[in-house]
Amino acid sequence: MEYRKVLIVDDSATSRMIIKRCFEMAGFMEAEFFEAEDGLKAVSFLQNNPVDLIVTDLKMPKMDGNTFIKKIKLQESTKEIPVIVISSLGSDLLEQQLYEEGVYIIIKKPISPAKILEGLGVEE
Amino acid sequence: MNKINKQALSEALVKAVMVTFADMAFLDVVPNTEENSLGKGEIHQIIGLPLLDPVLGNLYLFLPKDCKRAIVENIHGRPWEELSIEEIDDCLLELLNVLGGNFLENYLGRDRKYNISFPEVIFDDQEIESRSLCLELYFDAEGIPFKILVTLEAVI
Repeated sequence: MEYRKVLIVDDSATSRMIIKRCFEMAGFMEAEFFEAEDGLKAVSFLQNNPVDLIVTDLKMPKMDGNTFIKKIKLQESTKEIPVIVISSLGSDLLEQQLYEEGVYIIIKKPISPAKILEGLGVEE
Repeated sequence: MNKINKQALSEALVKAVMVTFADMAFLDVVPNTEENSLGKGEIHQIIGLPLLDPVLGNLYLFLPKDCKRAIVENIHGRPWEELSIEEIDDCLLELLNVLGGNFLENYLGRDRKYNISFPEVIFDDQEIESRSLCLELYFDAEGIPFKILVTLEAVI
């Protein structure tokens, strides 16, 4: 896998733990994982810490995932970073909006290693 | 206000519970047809999720201690004694969050947007009793009973 530094953004510590575990099981064993509990903290983290991949929830306090994604897609230094959305808020309309905003993959909660591999187009 | 289809609501909830508990907590859950299989004294924790739109109401999970323990230990992969209260609560709230999403998606269909609030620990069950009960379903998680209650104010 080419993603060496992964930022996980989710307000639930349990969810961040599950996401990290699933990515490791999906083959991201060498990756270094960083965590932020909302979009605001993630934006702040990204100012000084470049990453190769962002994995974010949508529903978070302080700054939700939609606002966070819009912000990083406007920043020159972060706009090219692939964003994976992991959320329980699923709808075709919402998915379409997110893809138009530049989201790379959308995975519906609960996440699993198989869903990550399927989303990335990797055969198990 | 749209009419509430209790049968469809019940089927959506049962399916969501079975899938969410299996996928997140590795627990096989089946509906328990024996009503009141869980005494009030056995309930150790109640957590609730406000449903905001287009379904306006609440989804409540009533858990005995053994059920909490099984869920949390399975998700964390660590013994109960090693986990903090914050880790336990966060874990249960995340489960309810995912369950709520799956429930509404099953009921409304994938083409319909919905909005839910943040799940929370309920300390005062009087608050629940004052709401309009819509569904009360009992489940069995590998021998451990638990209950789910849905209160509904409206389907917009």
